Amino acid sequence: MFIKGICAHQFAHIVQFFSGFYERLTKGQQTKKLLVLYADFLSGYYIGLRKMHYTSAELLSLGRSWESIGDSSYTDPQHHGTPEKRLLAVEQGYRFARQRQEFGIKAACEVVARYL
Amino acid sequence: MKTYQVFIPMLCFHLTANLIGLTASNVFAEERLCPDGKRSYFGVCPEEGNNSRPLQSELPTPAPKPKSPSSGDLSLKIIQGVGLKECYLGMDASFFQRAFGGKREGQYLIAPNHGVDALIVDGKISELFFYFYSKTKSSFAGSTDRGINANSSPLDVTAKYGQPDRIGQSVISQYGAMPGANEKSMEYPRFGVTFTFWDDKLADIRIYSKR
Repeated sequence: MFIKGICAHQFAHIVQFFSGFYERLTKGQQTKKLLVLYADFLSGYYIGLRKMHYTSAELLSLGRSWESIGDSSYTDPQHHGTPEKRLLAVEQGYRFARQRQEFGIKAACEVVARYL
Repeated sequence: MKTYQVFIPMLCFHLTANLIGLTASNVFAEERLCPDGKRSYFGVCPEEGNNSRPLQSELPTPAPKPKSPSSGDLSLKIIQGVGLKECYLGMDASFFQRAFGGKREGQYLIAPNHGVDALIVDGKISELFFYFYSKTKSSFAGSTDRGINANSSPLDVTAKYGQPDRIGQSVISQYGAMPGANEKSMEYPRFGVTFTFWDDKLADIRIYSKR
């Protein structure tokens, strides 16, 4: 599941590059944090959207894995977000897909860009 | 650009978002804390004793001795796309609790002593999970109505259910329940059942609505 999430994360970066979100999320920013958290949210969205049947242990494992890829290099231009923020982003994407099924991917993209 | 050209679209979005219930507080709600004060993951709290990563040498461990549900007359035949005769998909969550007890973990009702979990959506049983090979849960004492049980292999599943609609294969990560094990999931959405194997041993059966 972690690998699926990482693939979705990278795909979300492609979406950013081919849409206006890349500019919106990098304007005035010192780090890549917002770009990465945006992609984390969409990873969670993808995992939640798939009609898969996850056990609680699998969700626990995904959360721990995602948390482990965070970093604390706040001033580094390559800073990708703290473990807490990265976990929160992927969880909220998952929750958005599961609980707000009336909204599609476009709404998910807009919502996360506005509230990051 | 004049101020009103920025302000009015922002106000419109704000009002629309409030109307449809999309506010920062509910889209980015803080995750709940576990009873021990630690953070949960997707609403699921790490079980005590399951916080550290298991050593490779500890694996695999045999499944604990099966325990029967407290209500002796409970049917233990797992029916694809349905669940159990007395505890099936769409039933109120209280039926699961009556049959297996268990505790709430986020969206899940977990009954590790019986090797069964339920995903609860809107107070109803949405999915059922029967465990047969776990370090932290007892093995479920039943089998499917086609005879798949803890001793069955992927070949047995194919023989009873035919070719799966989808097969997923991966290696479980260090954060997973059985790190390093080869996971194979055989999915039959047409029947509403998925079989998961770890190193060719039946790990769990997942029951959900047919599609």
